[in-house]
Amino acid sequence: MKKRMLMAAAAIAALTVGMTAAASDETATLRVLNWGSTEEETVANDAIARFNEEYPNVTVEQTCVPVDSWSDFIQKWITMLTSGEAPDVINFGLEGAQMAVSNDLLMSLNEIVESDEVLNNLVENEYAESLLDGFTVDDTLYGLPSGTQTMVIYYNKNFFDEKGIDYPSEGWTWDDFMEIASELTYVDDEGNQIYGFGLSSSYFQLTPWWVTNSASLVDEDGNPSLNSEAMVESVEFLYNMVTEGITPDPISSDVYTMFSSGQLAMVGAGRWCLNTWQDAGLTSDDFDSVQWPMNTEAGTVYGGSAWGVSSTTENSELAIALLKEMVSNETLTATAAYGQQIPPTETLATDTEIMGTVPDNILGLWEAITIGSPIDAPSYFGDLEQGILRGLENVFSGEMSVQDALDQAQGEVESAIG
Amino acid sequence: MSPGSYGVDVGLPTWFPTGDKVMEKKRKKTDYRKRETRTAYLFTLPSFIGFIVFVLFPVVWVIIISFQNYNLFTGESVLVGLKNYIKIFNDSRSVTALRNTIWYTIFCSLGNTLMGLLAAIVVDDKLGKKLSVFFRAVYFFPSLVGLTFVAIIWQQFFQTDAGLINYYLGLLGIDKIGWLSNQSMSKISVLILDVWKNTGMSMLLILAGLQNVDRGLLEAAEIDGASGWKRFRYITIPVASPQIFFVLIMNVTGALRIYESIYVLTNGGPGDSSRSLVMLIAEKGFTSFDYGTASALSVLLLILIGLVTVIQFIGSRWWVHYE
Repeated sequence: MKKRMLMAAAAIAALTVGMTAAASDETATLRVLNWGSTEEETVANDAIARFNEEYPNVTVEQTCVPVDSWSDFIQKWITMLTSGEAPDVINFGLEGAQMAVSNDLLMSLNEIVESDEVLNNLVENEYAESLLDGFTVDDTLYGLPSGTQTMVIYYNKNFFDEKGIDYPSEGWTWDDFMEIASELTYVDDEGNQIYGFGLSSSYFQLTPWWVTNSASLVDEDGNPSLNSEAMVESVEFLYNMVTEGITPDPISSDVYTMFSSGQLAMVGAGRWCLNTWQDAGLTSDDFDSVQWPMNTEAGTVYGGSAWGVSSTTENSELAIALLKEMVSNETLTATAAYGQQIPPTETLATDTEIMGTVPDNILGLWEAITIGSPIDAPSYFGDLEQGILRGLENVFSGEMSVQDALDQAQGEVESAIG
Repeated sequence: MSPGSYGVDVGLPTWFPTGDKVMEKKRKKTDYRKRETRTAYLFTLPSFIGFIVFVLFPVVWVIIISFQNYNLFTGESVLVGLKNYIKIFNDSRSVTALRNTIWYTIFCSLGNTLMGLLAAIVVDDKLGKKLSVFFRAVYFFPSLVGLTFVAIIWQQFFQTDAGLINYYLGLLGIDKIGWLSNQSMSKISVLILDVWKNTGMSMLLILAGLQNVDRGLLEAAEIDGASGWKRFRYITIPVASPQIFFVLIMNVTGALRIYESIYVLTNGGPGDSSRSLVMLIAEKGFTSFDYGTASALSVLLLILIGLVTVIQFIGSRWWVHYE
């Protein structure tokens, strides 16, 4: 018995020594710049803990900032760079990708992906090609997506049933949309005003309207094109919604709360509001989703974030090892389970265990990403976003005509970028 | 030199300060003063270093950058002379932001000071002790509310189609007002939020001045037949004038630098209708990363604040009474 115990102890000791030998003895400090909520920070911390099992002597310091705008995030990144605490691994938004690349802040991932079987499989077979395009500049990949977001139309079935209108289906047009939205704008029996659609005046939420009219805020040469003919037509369509009273005031209205409280028949959104709506009591019986209505082409917008490695890192091998953990199946699943973002891989995004089953067409979100265009995010993204939003506010508030407002916005953006 | 040094015993008592003793005492006094001065310098040193590092150095740096084209990413800078300043004066957005800032300076500072004065008078004079304590807390409460909650509360209030204010106005038969979406209303909405949030602090400071007013003096004036307004105008205001002046200075410089109230409510819009100079500086610096222009705007704002403060101090000679 004693002999057996001694043998068992020796085996455990040998195993422990073996395990210690397997773990790396490299000593270093890595800095991670992340964004999101405390839950998303926890997901990243769990990934760091798994990384530390293999690299116990590497200290990883995570800085996680809440993001109101991507300009704020880039500012934080620059502050870390200039204060001598440059991050090694960064979770950056698509909106900041071009600016980071144009300032040589990110490392190319092409060779790393080619030489790593797991990453290669992820890139070749799992990520949506359209999503990778957003993080690719001149055929060079700079980020491995960690989460994504898109826009579809959610509609309240009860209003459609009440008015005897068929639910919208894929391939519907702007004209179909206007007709339905007009019919669903009415005062109900209790005197409540119901609006056909809730127009939001945020950059991401507005973008599908010009994407589906084959317009873009940036031309093929990368120059601003806020006042192109197709853009003017798109914004005139939006202003028509305001003047017709189909939408509540787009500048001040909280359209997502209005949708969940039964004041709107339709609204455009991604995955981020589904949890809140379900908490408010909405079920698959109450609402569903459909792809964006089209004018000249089918489509929508997608945005997202990706993990990349800093071009200035002094520990590139360790940083790449950490990057792999940040896009591991475990980490992506945990991020997706939190319920805000859409997972960046088809396997996860089409898994109802992760995505849930509300509404019925929940998997339409992944389809939207496959047909979507990346959000217009040139290196002067901040100026572009502010410029177009100011222009649209000038239109929606009735201060300027569409053409004048977009001409002015174009001039302001051109002036800002010199 | 001591009296004994002349070889004459003048019979001075031993305690009489001789020349040496006088010199020695002077020396001791000088040493003491030196020590005292040294101690004083030592005590002020931390704040002096803080001033140099966190105020003087950044101000000088901003002035230097305002004449440069500064690349934030590489840290490289090119001298461009007055180009950034010329750019500002040729930019209609800067002019709009300046005009809005002057509007805020007049109305927010007056609104905060007058409402603070009114609230201070009410809690000082018109209410019983318990009610006074209660209303002091009520008026001061908005100053303690976090910015995020302020944004949530007031954006809900000011919504055009689903907002609380328009709902009650509707019950009175008044048409919907575009508090946040009408360009002529956006600054007024910011003014309402700013006064709501900052009146409490003005009230507390003015209240300290009102409590200096001698009650006996007020009673004597009342017996002599002075009306309530005359007692307020000729006794209360002069006695509390240093505090009111302080509050006015604080509110004027605060309004010249107004940012938070706009940021949470309108973010400068619609268009540029409610954008202040500080908001434009933040946009140029942190969105466009154009530090040269942002610095030039900051220098102009610094000059503006300096000028307004000097004018206020000169004007104060006619109405502020220090005891």
